[in-house]
Amino acid sequence: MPETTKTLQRRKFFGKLGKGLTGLLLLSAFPVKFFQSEKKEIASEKKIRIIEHPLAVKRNKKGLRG
Amino acid sequence: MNNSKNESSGKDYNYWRSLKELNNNPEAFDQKANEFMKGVTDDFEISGMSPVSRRKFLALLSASVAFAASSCTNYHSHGEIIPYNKKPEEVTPGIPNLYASTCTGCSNACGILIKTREGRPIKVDGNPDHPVNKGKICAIGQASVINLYDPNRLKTPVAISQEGNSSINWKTVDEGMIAELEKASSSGKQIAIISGRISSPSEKMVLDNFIAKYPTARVYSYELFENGVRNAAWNRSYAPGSFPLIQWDQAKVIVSLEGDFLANEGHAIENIQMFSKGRDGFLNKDFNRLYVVEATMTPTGMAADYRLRLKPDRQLDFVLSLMNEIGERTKSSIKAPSGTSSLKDFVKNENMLAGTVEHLVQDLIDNRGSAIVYAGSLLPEDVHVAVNALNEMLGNTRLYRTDQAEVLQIPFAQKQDLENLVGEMNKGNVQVIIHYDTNPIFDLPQDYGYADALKKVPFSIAMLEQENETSALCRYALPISHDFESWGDFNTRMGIFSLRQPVIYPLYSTRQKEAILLSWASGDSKFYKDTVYHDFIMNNWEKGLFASAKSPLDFRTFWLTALENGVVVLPENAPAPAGFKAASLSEIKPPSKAGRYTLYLKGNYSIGDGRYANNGFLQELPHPVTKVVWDNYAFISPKTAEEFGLEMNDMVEVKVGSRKQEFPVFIQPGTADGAVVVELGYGRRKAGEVGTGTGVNANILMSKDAPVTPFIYNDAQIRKASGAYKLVTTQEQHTIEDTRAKDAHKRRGIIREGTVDEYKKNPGFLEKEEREKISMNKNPEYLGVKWAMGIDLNKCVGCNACVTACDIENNVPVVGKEQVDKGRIMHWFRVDRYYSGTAEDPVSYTQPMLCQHCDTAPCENVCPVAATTHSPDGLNQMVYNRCVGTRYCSNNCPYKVRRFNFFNFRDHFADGYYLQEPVEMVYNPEVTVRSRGVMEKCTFCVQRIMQARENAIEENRELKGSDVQTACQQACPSEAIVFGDANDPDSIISKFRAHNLGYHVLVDLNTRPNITYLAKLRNIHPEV
Amino acid sequence: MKKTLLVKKTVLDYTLKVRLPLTIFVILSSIVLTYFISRPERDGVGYGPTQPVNFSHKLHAGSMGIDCRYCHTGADKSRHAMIPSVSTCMNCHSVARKDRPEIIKLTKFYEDNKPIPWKRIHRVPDFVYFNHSVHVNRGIKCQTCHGQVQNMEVVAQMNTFVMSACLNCHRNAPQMLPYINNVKYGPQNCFACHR
Repeated sequence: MPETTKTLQRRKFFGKLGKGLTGLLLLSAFPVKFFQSEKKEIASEKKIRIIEHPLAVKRNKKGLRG
Repeated sequence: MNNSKNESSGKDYNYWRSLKELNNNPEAFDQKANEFMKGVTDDFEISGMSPVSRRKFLALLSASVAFAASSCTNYHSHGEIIPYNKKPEEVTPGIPNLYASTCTGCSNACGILIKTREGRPIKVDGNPDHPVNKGKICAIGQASVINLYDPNRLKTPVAISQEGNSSINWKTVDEGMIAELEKASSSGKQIAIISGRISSPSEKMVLDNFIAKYPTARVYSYELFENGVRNAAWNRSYAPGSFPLIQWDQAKVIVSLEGDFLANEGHAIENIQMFSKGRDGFLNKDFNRLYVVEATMTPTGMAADYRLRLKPDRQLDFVLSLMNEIGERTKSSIKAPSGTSSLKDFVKNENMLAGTVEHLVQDLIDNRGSAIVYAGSLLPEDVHVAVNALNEMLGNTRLYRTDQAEVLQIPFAQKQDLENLVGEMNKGNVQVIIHYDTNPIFDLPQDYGYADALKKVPFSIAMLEQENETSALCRYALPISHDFESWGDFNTRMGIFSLRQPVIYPLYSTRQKEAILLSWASGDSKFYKDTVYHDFIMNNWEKGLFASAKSPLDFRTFWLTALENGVVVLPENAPAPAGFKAASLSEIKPPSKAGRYTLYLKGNYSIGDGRYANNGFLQELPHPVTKVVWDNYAFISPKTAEEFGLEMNDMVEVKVGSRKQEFPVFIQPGTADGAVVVELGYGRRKAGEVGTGTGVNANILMSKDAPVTPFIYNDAQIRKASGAYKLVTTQEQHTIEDTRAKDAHKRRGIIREGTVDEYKKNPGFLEKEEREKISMNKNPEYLGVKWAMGIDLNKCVGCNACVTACDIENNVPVVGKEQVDKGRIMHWFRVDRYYSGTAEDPVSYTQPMLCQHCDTAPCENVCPVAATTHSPDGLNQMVYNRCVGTRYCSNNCPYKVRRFNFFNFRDHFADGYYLQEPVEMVYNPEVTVRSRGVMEKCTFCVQRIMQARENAIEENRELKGSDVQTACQQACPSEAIVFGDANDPDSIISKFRAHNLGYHVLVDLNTRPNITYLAKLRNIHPEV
Repeated sequence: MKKTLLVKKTVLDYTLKVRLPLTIFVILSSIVLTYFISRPERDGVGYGPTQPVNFSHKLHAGSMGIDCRYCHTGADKSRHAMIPSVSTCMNCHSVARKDRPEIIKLTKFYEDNKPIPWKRIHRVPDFVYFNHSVHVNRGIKCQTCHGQVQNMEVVAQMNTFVMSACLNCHRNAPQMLPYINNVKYGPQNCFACHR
């Protein structure tokens, strides 16, 4: 049966859909983070502070295998 | 124009579109000449149009995008480098600092060294100066560093209410508490402090001060697993005091009755160290002989030479009939009470192996004075009294240590005390309850009625690191500092005082529990300072310990040296041994009528009494016997399972009295028929993200008024329950009888064994394999150091300290039950367990397995990107940045020691647990944290090798094999693992490689592995 | 009559005379341009950013002759050579040249208890575990890899730190380090740097 206009239209539609989805898939692989500016993270106030205990006594003796 | 002529064909065609055209109307020609109709282009006046044409617009668009893209990145930048503002003197970035401290993972108070990098503790190892654990620490101690960075830790004091918790500040807490305590004290109402074992003399003084200030205060000290029964029996047999420590290294014969002394009982590390002196492949000392009589397989049972199965409620009868038999044969003056069965009848009734029992009796008699019979702490008091009598009869009291004894700072509360407390709580006579880092709602048997009584107490608080079941019913939960943030001193052994110092400033707004009580005992809400407990301990030491030590140093130097060493040892004399009270035997009540099925509740091997349920590393640690992770279950023997039609992963309902619970079934070879054994500490309702709901709660089956003990119920009822529960193990559970799997480990040479007799008669009995095989790989020459490892299978008891140490040292991720089910557990180091023999009475082997660093490694020549190669010092190198994740290397490895990162366990896995703030601080900065798609495996701790090399270059000397200790070697309590330079003929590893018992696993595959195992020798009687 | 030869302009002509040279030029120039433009990003040579505080090595290490290890204390002790902390600077600058604007900036950092966010210049990827103390203790001079820092006002990267450069020195140690006697060849196996 020869292709009607409707058939051609449907084919075109799905073709466009498929190409669109492929395009989106490829687009999602775009490295967006690479183009973002670097975030500054110097001593942000929220983070836990690691403070060595001032009264702790370090072990200096080199025993077996230090 | 009219194209009236078509040139090619010569015909005259006239084409027209309208009548106007046909009639040659000039209007039509005009229209044809114009491209557009009149008026159409009016809107497109050139002057009105934008100066940018379409072409120009597109060009500009693409150019601006390109510029924007290139300017948005500063790809030259290498980031920033941030040094200190004021550098602390002790910290050199890149060099770890070691601090001596004490572990409070259990009540043994082992000395530890905490390794910190830039102020962050990242690893725990044993303190070599501590005379008890001598530089070794168990799996729980190794994993305690995770507890510091637990995201579920309480960060501020909270007020608990139905709607949710609300933070309050310490000032409010102090003021409120002191007011409440004074009110209670002045009105005569009790102030109850529920604490665990008190091992610290300074803490005891704090409690004394507290009671002095508030005279109605009382301390109830309890632990789920403690030596109370054993000590009570000792009191009956000898004199008040604690049960003596045993010289396991002097014992030629050890008979352990339900006593898991190599894993769970007493000071397991010390026991392993002493026991393994008599399990030496080099025969530096004669082999000892271990008999174990127990209900289900335990690590001690796996190490046994002879093993018997017996339900725990039958142990009393067993000991008494043993006494009968031995008393008869040795004509001893100590007699078992009348009415006890003869040994022959007992053995027949209980279906025990008669031959083994005969060997047991004969060995005990032949080794009088050098043997020891040891009963487990969960057995009833009468068994201990009988065992004391048996040891006395055989003269084994010689093996009780006199140089050291256990010290208890505060006696434990007895059942009567706790019942009284609950009674007072119900009557409303208790005004304030302080839960001093304990969880009685989960631990105590339900029939105390503690939960209901607690609701009647007007003011209840809990001091803890993380919220638990008890704090949920209290009014306030106060966060306490972790071990690594706290001061303390510990005295659990005579004359040995070990110190605990904080290595990090408290991460959150927490306080030490001793300091909290001290500040309340002062009655002044402004009393608290950060250093209040530190000053208190220093003061105590100056007045007490320092004075009696009579040291030539001044106090400050003494104190600082003590902190650096971590332990102070003062000679103290043990109490003189008391005489045996023969009358104790007559007080023994006859054994109760045995039901058919006995429920036995015992401790587990990884999470303590349940308090470490939130520690993922410990939950994922495979059980030493069953290799199950993340769950508990009911151990059932194959015969009993058949009776009820139970199979693996079925559910079984265990009913004791009116209490019942359903457990998944684990059919364990070597379990006594009719015994159902379940481990306690699981099934917690409130234990943080990881611990809540893991396993099944067996604690609810306990009763305080049990006829035998709260842990043994001989009237249990078993029934198959509906449903199934998948238990996840890391080692496949083939049936022992499966002919394909049966003894595969022996046929393939994975485990090679012999007996001590055989070895003594013929040292070369192992018939070592020929190593000169042709290989298509050129065997590289190793000039300089060649690293190799040796493992003595006689010494390994499967305690899992090595596995945990490797995990923490090498940033190995925890993957969770689902992934372990798919075989994706990430442990680099595993302990394999094999059985041989029958399903009823199997013989077990434990074998540590790790990357063998083969000389002709099958993984190296199949990597398509050369990510794994061989180093000139004998290591098989794994380069993560080159790996593309083909997994061909893991496919080729015959030992299956390569682990693949199927997910980015660090960042994007499941719930993002590792991304929570403090968890990442536990990583060892010297080891790469692997991302998805990378293969990883044991590296022989290359970071430690490189560190040792760096030290050697700094000191301008050559690198020696003994400079490096791998994490697993450092952790192994029995020193089963040795590591060093195979090119050095004097090193111990060379001796391993040349040893008669030394063999390699799967040597016929010609991989030329570099880990030499010493064959397992069983010290059994030569079979006639 | 002069006969003019009409050369037929074929497509091949056009391709060879116009399009081919054009294509070759575009390809070559893009390769050359990308190579040079990406050099700072690839191996960092020439990267010399302005720092938050205008510290001059030429003054301190050059004219005043302060040893590298006075400030970069970790160089012979640990894997990291370490940028000095602000307190090291204040060792002298709590008194010296207190009135200069840069020193005032420095003092402000010290008093605010904030570390100075220096822009990092010499950096190898995280999967490379470079060890400073091993190199320094073998006698290798700082200038061998970092260039003549004592003559730099603003520090810039002088050498490339790609792996081939490291291996080059490891393999040809006697030629690259003539000032050390009996120099040992550097390790050339993966685990030496990539754990």
